[in-house]
Amino acid sequence: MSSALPALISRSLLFTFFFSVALLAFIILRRLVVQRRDAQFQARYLRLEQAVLQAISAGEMPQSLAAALKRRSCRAALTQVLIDFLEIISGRGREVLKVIFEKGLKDECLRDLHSRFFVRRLKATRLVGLFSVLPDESLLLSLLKDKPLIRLAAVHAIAQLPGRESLALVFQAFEQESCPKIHIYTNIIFGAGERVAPFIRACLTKGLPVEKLCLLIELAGAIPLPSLYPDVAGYAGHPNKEVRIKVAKALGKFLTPDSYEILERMADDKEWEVQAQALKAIGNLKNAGALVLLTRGLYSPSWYVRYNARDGLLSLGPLGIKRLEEVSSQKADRFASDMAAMALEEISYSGVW
Amino acid sequence: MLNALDFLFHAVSAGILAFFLLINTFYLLFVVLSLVGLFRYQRLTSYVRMKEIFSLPLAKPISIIVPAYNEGPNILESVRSLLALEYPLFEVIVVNDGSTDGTLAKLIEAFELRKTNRVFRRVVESAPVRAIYVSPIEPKLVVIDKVNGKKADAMNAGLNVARYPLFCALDADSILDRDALLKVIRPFHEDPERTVGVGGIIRVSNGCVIKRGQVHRIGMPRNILARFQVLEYIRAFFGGRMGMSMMNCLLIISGAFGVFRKDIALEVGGYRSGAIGEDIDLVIRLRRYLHDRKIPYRITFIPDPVCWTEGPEKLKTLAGQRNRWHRGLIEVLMLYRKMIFNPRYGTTGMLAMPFYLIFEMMGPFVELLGYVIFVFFLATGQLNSPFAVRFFLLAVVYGMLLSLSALLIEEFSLNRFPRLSDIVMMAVFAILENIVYRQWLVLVRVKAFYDLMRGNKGWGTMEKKGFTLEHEQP
Repeated sequence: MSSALPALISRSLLFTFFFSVALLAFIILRRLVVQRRDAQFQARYLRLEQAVLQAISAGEMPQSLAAALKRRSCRAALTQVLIDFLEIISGRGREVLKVIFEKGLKDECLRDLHSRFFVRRLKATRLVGLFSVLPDESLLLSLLKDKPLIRLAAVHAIAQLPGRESLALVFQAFEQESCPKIHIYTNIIFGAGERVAPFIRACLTKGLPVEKLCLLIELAGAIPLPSLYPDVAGYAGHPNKEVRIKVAKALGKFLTPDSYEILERMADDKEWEVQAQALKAIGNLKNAGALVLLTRGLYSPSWYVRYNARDGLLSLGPLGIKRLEEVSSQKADRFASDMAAMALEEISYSGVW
Repeated sequence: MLNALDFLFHAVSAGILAFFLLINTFYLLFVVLSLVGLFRYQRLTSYVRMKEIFSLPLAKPISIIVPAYNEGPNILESVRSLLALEYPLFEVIVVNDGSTDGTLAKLIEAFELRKTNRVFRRVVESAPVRAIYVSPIEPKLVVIDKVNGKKADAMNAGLNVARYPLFCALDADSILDRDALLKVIRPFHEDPERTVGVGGIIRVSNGCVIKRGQVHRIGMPRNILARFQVLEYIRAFFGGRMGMSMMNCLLIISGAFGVFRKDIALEVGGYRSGAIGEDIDLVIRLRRYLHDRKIPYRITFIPDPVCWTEGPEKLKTLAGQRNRWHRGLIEVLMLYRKMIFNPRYGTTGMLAMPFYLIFEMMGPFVELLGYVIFVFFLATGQLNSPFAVRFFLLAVVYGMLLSLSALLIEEFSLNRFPRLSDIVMMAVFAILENIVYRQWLVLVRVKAFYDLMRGNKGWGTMEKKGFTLEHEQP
């Protein structure tokens, strides 16, 4: 052992030393290459940025851009320019961007959708979504059966396309998706706006798992889709607390006067979370008849219920403020008094309620 | 008798060698895993528009809690930078933990703070709150003035006042990249049920130029100690943390920048008042709580959102900081010792905690023992000089290899050092740190053990220089 160990250490030392030197050389060389590549990219980017800007303002493709579209070396920079512009402009300019994409990058992008490399497929799918390019249906369906990330990118892409069929595909994918991943659909469904109402209505009747139900009800409120009021209100008595919370939240966004009675019942729910959400929703309705209910909420043992009741009273304007003043001056319940005082203090600072 | 002693020393030497091999193999494994993790993260986020989170209707609001004790030099710059963060809905809660350097006065003056009778739920214990201030000019800002009670206590006061379902723990001497919250929040949106905590990368801000509350130019510090720390942070975050996160056994989400679910943090009782290492303590308790209840969860690390923090530039301050970190580590390992080698806690109990116990906690003692044996052999004339020299060189080169590997990962990240000379400088410091600095750190950490045994649970003082603002640079 005594002779083998020093030899082993010597060999390890030599190997580690050369490996370290090689690694340092690699880092330095890579940095030099990357710096050069970045400089080239930056130069191309600036050139193409000018050209795209010109195309957007003139509404037609300048010569320089047409030439650049043919060069393979310009594609990465052009893609980045288009994506950056897509973030900051809207309206007719976006259409110009889409035209440029279709002329210069679409073919390669569609080819990449078949690539055996995951990242290439993922990037292509995302680009398809960003520029709303429609691949044929068989390809779309194959993307929807791909790995989760590509599937989600594909769903995102499909959601950008106009037409009922695309949304049907999105909701079909949503129903089949495993529950932990469904939150990715939030932006997709929200972005589609009122068009999703019939699909959400259909889903609400299908007995989906609680997580999906919660998300759909919450989205119905967030968009908002008051036409779904009867469908959502039907879940007000759902045995799951989370569902009832989302229902109260959605009803508070629908602002349907009929919902007051349901929310009044929910304000007496056995769970404080539901009570708190119901009071917040009642506040949104700005119904003067809720004064008593909201005042009662100020005396709740739950901090959140008191907090939301105070918000509700503030939303009633002078009437609610007068009630807050009364509660703040009473001595029987210090917690209610403190909450009311805090509300009054906040509006005195901000001047708004 | 002498032969027996000789045998013992040789056996211990062989043990130290094995220890050295094992620890470096683990570090190398973490570095490789980190590299894989970084590539995966980068390719999965290509063409993803972070700003989409802005339009997300259900984006979770965040309460940023900033405990501040004598943070006068940096506090205004930090708070301004936080208020300018890109995120749909957040509040900044600065907890003035009984500062004596006028931190509160500076905040009151700069943000026109006014006392408020804000009502809050006292869910977790904290030292008495003297007053809560709000700012009419910055509605997102809340300042709590409380009796001094250390960082964990200040965090608890902040947790009581926080209104939102997620909270971000942040050091007052830190600066977040403007889109850091948007990036760090991604796991909470992708997997909201399971994600409990997410940490980002902390980097040393010394040498960087700050402009309008943001790191404007990344640079290498002039101070030698700060340079060593730059290397250490790169190695710790791009190596260790990310590798551990890949194996789902991350134990430390730095107190300087981490986002957590408030409900779960409150269920475990918030931060443990008096904890020396409140960050590792919270993560371990979260893991224990969730494992015990068999609740599936994720505590993860994201290599992209960057938080910049000021590293100590004086030996005494750095020694105090490292002493505290090591005491914190030993304290939690002793406190939660039942989790170590306990298969019930999965990779946390079987890998991460044993790793910290054997290599991080015991490491300094083993290393010190190695130096003692070296001196003994040297004094008794038994030193096999060529072997000792080769072994020392191997330790230096292996350490350098690890640092270079971390530097390679840093090269692939988005916030790399801009100048080539910085890389060369880092490589030089990767060698230099093995001479004197490393041995000094061993002594600091051994002393930390001794201090803890004597019952020292203090934080010591942290001297701050303040950020280098653009108009101050030479």
